[in-house]
Amino acid sequence: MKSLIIKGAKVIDIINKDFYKKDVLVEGGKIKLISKNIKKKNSRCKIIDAQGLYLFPGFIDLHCHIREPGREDKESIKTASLSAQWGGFTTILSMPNTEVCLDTPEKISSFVNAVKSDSTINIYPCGALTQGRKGQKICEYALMMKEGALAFSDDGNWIEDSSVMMLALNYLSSLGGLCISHCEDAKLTWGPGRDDLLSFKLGLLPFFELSESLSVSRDIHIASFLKARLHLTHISTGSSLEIIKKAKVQKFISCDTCPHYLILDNSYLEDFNTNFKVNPPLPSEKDRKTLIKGLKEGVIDCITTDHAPHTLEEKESSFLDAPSGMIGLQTLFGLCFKYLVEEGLIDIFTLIEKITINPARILKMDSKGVIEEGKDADLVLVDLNEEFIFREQDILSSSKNTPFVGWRLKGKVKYTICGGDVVYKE
Amino acid sequence: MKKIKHLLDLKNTPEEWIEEVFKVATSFKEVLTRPLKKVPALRGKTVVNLFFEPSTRTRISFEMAAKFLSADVINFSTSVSSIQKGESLLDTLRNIESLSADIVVVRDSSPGTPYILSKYTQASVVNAGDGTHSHPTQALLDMFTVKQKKGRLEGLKVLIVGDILHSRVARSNIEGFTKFGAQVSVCGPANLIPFYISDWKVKVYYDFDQALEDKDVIIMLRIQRERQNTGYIPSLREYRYLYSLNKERFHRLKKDTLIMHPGPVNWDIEISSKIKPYVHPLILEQVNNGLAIRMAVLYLLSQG
Repeated sequence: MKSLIIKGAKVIDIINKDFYKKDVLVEGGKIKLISKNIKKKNSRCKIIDAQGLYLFPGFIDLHCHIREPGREDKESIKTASLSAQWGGFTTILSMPNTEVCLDTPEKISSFVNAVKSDSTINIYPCGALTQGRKGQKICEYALMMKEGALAFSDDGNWIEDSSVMMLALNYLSSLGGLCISHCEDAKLTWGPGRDDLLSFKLGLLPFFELSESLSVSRDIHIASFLKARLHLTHISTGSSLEIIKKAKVQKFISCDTCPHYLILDNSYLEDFNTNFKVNPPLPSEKDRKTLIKGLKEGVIDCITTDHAPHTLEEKESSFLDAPSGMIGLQTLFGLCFKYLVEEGLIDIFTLIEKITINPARILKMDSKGVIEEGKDADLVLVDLNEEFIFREQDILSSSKNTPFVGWRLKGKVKYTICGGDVVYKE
Repeated sequence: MKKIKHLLDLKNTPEEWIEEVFKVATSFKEVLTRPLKKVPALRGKTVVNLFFEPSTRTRISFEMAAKFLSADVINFSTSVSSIQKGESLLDTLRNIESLSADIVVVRDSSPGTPYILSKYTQASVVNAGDGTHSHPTQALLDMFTVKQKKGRLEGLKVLIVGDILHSRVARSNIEGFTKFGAQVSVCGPANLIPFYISDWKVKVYYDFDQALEDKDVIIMLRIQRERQNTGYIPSLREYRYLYSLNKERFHRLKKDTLIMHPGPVNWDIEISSKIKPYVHPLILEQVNNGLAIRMAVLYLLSQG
């Protein structure tokens, strides 16, 4: 049997918030043994000398966009997989708002088949919550789950009709499925700015904080009424967090935010660089600080990329015409480690739990997200001391829309191991 | 004097450069009264008017300004967005760039377009209005008009009335007048004045009768007729009732209050036609000052 020994790494223990120096034996795609001084058993056994490196569970992204099927020129399963493993991700969830919307079991099945042939990491489809993401009729959740849909979302749209949302959540939760909600009352999104003076001066009409908080509040009310699981994605305001915090006494509510809401604020929009245009828009400085606090206090469960590839042509338009979104699979860890952990805003254990064990729990993946004997050998080895400049030529995605080119990041992924195989080595 | 390459907004434009614009505009204004109005200042230079949003008045003003300075002028106007034509904004610029323009005058319906273009061109970029963001030459001509009439800007009480939320003229005027020490207030329907504007040290009034009392300058903004259809205001007649400068309000003003309007005026909506004989001359003088100001801006940027 193929086996692999990772020798001398500092292995993270998220539960006890500690690191211990032990060897890890990987066999048959699983973590077989964690112990001191594991010896090589046969010649087929590979050894990674991981002295000075940190061993984390492979990162898990609950929210990314792959443009397959339909716009493989922007991002295919293949290129997404390459970017993800460079960034330390071994499991990612692809949102259904592709050109061909993932709203039937057949489409889910063909996506899963494409992943089998094109990806070396785990890429799971998130199915659409309603047919065509139109917010009107619910999808065949059970059949889609059977084909491999791991969660359901109309991401990009909020379900405006409360009756549809109630029917979707009620039915989905009876099947044990997870709903991921993009909270935005589009009628309260007048433009790509925030409701503050800075955006007003820039002439960017507001995405009202009410646009998010009202929809968060409605969704939480429905979920609470039904006792249904609900995950709120890319949360970007303090007022939403306050509502979520109160609701979290009920264990079935969770949420995430993205690095750009934790590291950037809307003052970056001052020269109208369209690579900074995201939806929801970059937060005010005050909201950014509140989000970091929410991360620390555990109100925010996960950090997701909201990796959103767009062509250069699309981003080379005016600020209003340019599509929203930035790519993020390669930069999430290096950014968060450098600008959150190194800055003393959160500790390394908090960062790691947000991108491993917490998303694994939300997705009910018991065998992922931790380093324990018997669990899946999805692992990442990182040099936490290495600082580097993220360069354009480092980008493996088919799209290059990131404002972080030229930024100093810290924490370089050296090996990514998925299902026991080394899928990426620097 | 510190030279600048582009005129994108007033926030980042030094006061002394603005003073210089006023000085140069004063002499160009004199030139405009001569029988032969042409000066050779921009001979051999090319000015491209790149208008992605329909505009007659501002485009003509820039075109005449460039022509009076002896520049060659190319008008590139399109009401169809470049994106719809399958060409990116920057590609359009790259095409213009091949015409080796010295100054590109840009108008677009999106905030920031002149900023984006300025990063990719050798030419000087002049913002001729970018969406709801900024309209620096309009503010400069308004300030110039006030300065000529009052001799100063500092300490003056300026009131801007109308749709502040969507107005680039309001934003640039607040930026410009406060830069020179004037006190700016705004007045209009609550739905068209974001409450957080008060963080800008701008006083907010919803009651025009209360607002107009002690003002030295009142700038009446044009109300877009579609605002009543999108629900910001219930109707134009209600707007007129609350915010029109009518005869009664006009007579309550201080004798020397200046009434200005960026044009075109919706007579009997923003301003009653009954007072047209009293207010129209100054509004037309603004247009004339606009020409002088744009000549000064083009001239100073070409020196950069």
